[in-house]
Amino acid sequence: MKKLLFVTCCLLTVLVYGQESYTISGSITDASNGETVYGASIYLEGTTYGVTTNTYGFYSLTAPEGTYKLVISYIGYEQVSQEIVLTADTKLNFEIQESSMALEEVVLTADENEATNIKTPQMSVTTLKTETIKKIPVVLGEVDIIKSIQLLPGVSNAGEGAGGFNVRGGAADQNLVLLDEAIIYNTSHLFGFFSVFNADAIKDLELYKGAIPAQFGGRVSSVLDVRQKDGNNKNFNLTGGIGVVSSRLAAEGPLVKDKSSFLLAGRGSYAHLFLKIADEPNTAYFYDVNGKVNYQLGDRDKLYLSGYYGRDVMKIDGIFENNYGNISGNLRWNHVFNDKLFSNASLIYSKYDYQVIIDFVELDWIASIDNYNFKYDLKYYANQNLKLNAGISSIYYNFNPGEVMPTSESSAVNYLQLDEKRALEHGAYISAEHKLTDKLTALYGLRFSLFSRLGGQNLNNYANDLPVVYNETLGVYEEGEVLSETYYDRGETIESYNNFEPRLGLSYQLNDDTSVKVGYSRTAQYLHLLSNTQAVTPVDVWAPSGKFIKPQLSDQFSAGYFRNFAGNKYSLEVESFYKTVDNRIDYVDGSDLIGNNTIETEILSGEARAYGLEVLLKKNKGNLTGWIAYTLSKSEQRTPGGASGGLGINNGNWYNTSYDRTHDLSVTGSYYLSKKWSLGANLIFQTGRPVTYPNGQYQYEGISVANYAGRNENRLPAYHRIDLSATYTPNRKPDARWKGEWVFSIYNVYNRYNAASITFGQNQATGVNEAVRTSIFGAVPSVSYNFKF
Amino acid sequence: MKAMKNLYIKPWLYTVFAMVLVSSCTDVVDVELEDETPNLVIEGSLDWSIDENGTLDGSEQTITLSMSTPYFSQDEVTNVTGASVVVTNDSTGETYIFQDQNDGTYYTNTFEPVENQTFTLHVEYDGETYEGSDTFLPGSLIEYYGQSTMGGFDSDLIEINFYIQDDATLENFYLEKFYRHGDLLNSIETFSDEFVNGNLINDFYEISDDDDDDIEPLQPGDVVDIYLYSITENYFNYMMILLNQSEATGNPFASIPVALQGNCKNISGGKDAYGYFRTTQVHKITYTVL
Repeated sequence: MKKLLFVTCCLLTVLVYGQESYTISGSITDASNGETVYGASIYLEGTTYGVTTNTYGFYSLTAPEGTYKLVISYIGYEQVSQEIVLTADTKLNFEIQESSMALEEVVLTADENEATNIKTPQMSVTTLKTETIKKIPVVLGEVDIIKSIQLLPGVSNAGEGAGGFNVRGGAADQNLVLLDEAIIYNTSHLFGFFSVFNADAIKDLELYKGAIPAQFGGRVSSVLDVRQKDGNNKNFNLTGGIGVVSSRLAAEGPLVKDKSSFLLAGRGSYAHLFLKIADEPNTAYFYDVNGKVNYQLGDRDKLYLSGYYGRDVMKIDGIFENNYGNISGNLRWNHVFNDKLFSNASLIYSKYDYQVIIDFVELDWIASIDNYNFKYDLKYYANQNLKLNAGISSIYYNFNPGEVMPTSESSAVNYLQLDEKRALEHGAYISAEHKLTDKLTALYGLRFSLFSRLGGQNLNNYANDLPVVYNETLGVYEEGEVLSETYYDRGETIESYNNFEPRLGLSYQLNDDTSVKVGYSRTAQYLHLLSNTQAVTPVDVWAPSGKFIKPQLSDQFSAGYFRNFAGNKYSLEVESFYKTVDNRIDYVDGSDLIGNNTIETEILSGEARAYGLEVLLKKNKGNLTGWIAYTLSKSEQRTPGGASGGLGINNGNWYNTSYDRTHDLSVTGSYYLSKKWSLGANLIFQTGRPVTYPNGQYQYEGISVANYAGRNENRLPAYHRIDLSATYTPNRKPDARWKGEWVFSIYNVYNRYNAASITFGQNQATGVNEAVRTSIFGAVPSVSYNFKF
Repeated sequence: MKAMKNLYIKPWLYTVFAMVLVSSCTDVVDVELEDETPNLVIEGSLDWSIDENGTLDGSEQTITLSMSTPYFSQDEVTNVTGASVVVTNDSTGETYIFQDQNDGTYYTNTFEPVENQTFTLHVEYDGETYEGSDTFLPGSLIEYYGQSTMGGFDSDLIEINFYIQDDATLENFYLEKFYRHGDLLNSIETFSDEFVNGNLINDFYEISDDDDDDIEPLQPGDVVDIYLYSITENYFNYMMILLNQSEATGNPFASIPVALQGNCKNISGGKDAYGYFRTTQVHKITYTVL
């Protein structure tokens, strides 16, 4: 409560001292396609008055009466400036021109925004535009947002062919992934070879690795906020690409002149391609569709409707079929109350589901999670020194952990419906960006979250309230004794939790080019992805907190040094972090999570911690641009037996998480050679993933049985590779509508067999024990053709 | 590789995911491992045969003791001799002393199994005492069997089909062992009636045609032993982990392997023995492929 009072006091102080001045407000759009521009700077030259546009391109700038030169600058765009005489509140919309007529100019021009923003107290954040992502060499020629962010410090993943990503030693389920505000539960196509984000439909993204702003809640590690394009409202155009594994096509254009535009993008992979056992009837493919329309309802209101649908299908004829995918939709209403108050209301739906059909067992299995979300956010540009954000959000979740159906009369399988689960998650927040002195700026806020697990299901009552007990005789964890069942009515709340989540950031400017920042955030996570495997799989199930599972709570501290030098040619960001997560669940030995109605009998609650140092050195200008990212970190967890008895998992000792990487180095660069050619390269080096190796063997039942030592005490060999790419843009007439380019790339040029896993077993033919390495990609050359019309 | 149906979905999915992984390749690599000190291994499998007419004589039983070795060691298994091995009927207190055969095996021909009765194994070796218990549960029979090619995973290969009638009144746990005469290794599978309680369960045995090894699919003339064991839940849990871990080869989606915890506790306070003391009823059939 004290923190809340502090925040309120600060706000009041500033409001009282508000001065006599006027406000300029409006929106910034791209002149070529009408897309709103996020993060453009609007400032009054020679003063300290300046703001950046919000995600809807809106800005509001308040300054004392006077005559100014108003400047708008944004990466890759011509700078716009205009004399203004500020004697009244003014509404000014600007269209800014992309300086892409001659590509070299873009590269060579000073870009204020590419340089690190040293002033804002927001730290641990990276904003990437699709254009930047498209320059990075990729496997199989498919531009991939999830793989691109893994080149940033503090971001890694479980390995090639594994879905999801890990931020600052956090688990994949601790990332809040949003596509136009809709929660995406599984970010991968084809087991992580590709991500669900079609680069042609994406405008930009922001990744918060820490110091998460108060408007976001529900996950403890990071927020990946991905925004789709609005659709060109000037001209109709097509973009597309033909690659070796997939092709894509996007159409966008105006629907009603200056009022409405649309975007429709589709993508699909070719079937069969992914199967080693590529017999005719077997297939594995994915496809997805992104769509968006917007409508301007006069000066103050704008509506957006956006959606995504994606599906993966894998079929092994007569044996097995698995399909899964996300679907999401979002209806938004932007409303500008006045020149200082901007609002947005959103109605969002999203769903992830999967289906497994095992033909020879005659079994059909489906599971899903879906949610309805209402959000309302306000941004108030109080004065030059203070901006306020506030909002509310309510999410209704429905979890179907599994329904098993026999597919024929003769099937030996019985019908089974696991208990569906329901929950409500509410959030309310207020935050302020507050310039305290010329050098010191603060970003502080408070989020309140309330989670209710709703009834409509039975729950077991266990002896001593212990779903898991330690069996002293056998030395194993097993199900607790079920005493009775309680039915909770649909209207009833089984359990509820609430948390105050303070967020704080401070930035102190040492000089024009240098600042230091500190940040603190507390976050709560009420959903848990049940996964006892080393990599996230499509059939993992989400479970809500409730009577048996407590919400994860995280505290993260970060501190950093930020500097631009050599005239913004280079930027250096050094950040360190320390974070703890309470109530992190882990699984007892031999846990079976699929088809289990009483998950609580398989888990123990523990804690996790991670700390590290991140260094990012960027070159922002010149023919050569790119960055070097290095992370030194540690991520571990422990799971004591607690009330269940026994020492716990791994005897209650700390163990490395699967996503602990001591060293993680990424170098990525692109080089502008000529009008026709540009080159790109990546170098990745990572400490091997922690794994558990055997320390002995014995003969039992005719099998050589491996004995395993402490959890994750060993490591796979270090992971490293180099990728190269070259982009060729053929000569074309300056006014030709058709623009094409060829992208040639080689992933893993020196063909290193990086181990995705090393497993131990007995050779069936010789009976000899052996270590078997699985590597996913050797050297992979590819070529793709991209076009724009 | 041998492949069998498993009524558990999860291991299945992972197997298929592993198969689908694009250009993935597997190879055998050298890995440096740390070696633990050798530990006692108890293979105490008391199996009581049954047939259509009921249970058969279970008086002859053997228990094997050995020491664990470094993982990649190809030396002969170290046999443990000079241990005292005794099994007790927990209700009657009747004891059965297993005679040291000086080759690592301990033998008796006077054992008297009792259905639904718990027995306790008592081993003394090298100043340490180990104890473990298990119960003889009622057995199930392989009701009938035959062969086909259309079923199984591969419709070009022969599989042996067989049927088990599950008892709806009990939570049943099964272990199946398959051995083709002439092969080096046998195959073991476990399953429970979780999804198929009370049903006539059909299962099959097929050997896949894998280019990576020299193991041939089933051929006419092959002789296959199929064993169906009725096991306790504790032993089922133990074998589930054991089999999942030994079959995880090449599977990046496998669970993190764990140290197996058997039921032979060291009551002197030292390290527990590896292996397991289990008591089962078993139905064996021998089938000659046509």
